[in-house]
Amino acid sequence: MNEKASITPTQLVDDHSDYLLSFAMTKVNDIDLAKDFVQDTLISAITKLDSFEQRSTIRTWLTSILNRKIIDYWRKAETKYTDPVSSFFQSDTKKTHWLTEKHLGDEPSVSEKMDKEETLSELADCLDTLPAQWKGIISSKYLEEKESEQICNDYEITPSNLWVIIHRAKLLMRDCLQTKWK
Amino acid sequence: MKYCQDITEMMERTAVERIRLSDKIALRFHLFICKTCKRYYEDSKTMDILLKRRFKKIDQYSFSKLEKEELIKRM
Repeated sequence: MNEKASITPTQLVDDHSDYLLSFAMTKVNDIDLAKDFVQDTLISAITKLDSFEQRSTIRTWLTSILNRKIIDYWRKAETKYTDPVSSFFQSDTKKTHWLTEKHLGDEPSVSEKMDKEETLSELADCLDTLPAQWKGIISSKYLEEKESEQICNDYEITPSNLWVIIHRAKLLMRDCLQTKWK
Repeated sequence: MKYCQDITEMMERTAVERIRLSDKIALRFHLFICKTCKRYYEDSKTMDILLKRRFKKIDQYSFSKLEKEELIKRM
């Protein structure tokens, strides 16, 4: 009768599981964790198939369920700490600031290297060295291009937390890139 | 030193929330006189472009055949 009625688990897995796994890996660094997220997503999708309204494609719908699962996971992880933002700022990232730590000038700038082909893969490596939750935030901003307000709501952080995280993430990534170029 | 930290943070702040005109002017002026911050500013903009480019093509991961069968069973 409609497209919905004919969706089977096999179809969902065959058509979407690899895509969902690839998407999850833009948000987390751990392949097993990513696989768990995809499994949870597919299981809840098949049980909630009735609520799929076909206003979007099934892939978009699945991605939004997956996104929700990842965000819920981080939220739960966050509540284990007394200060909800404390774990965003691991002590070693907080201690030193780039300006107090060293004089800049001899390191190549990112701008100089931007057109080099390997820079993108180096950047991908550096993304993986960021504190775990940051990767999800960076991916929301640069892959999904979500509005800041939306990201703050999703991760339950204030706008100040958000720009401080983006700022620190960029500092760490630039440091990481410059170390690679030495 | 503290001032450079504030300035570099402000670069991200402007993308997230509205900042006062006087802060914007302070930012511009500081970038004019401080080479280190100017360079960071350029790198920050470049990283915006690179991050977008990086995510244009996401890495492909896949489940093994066995894992897929396992998944279907669990569903």
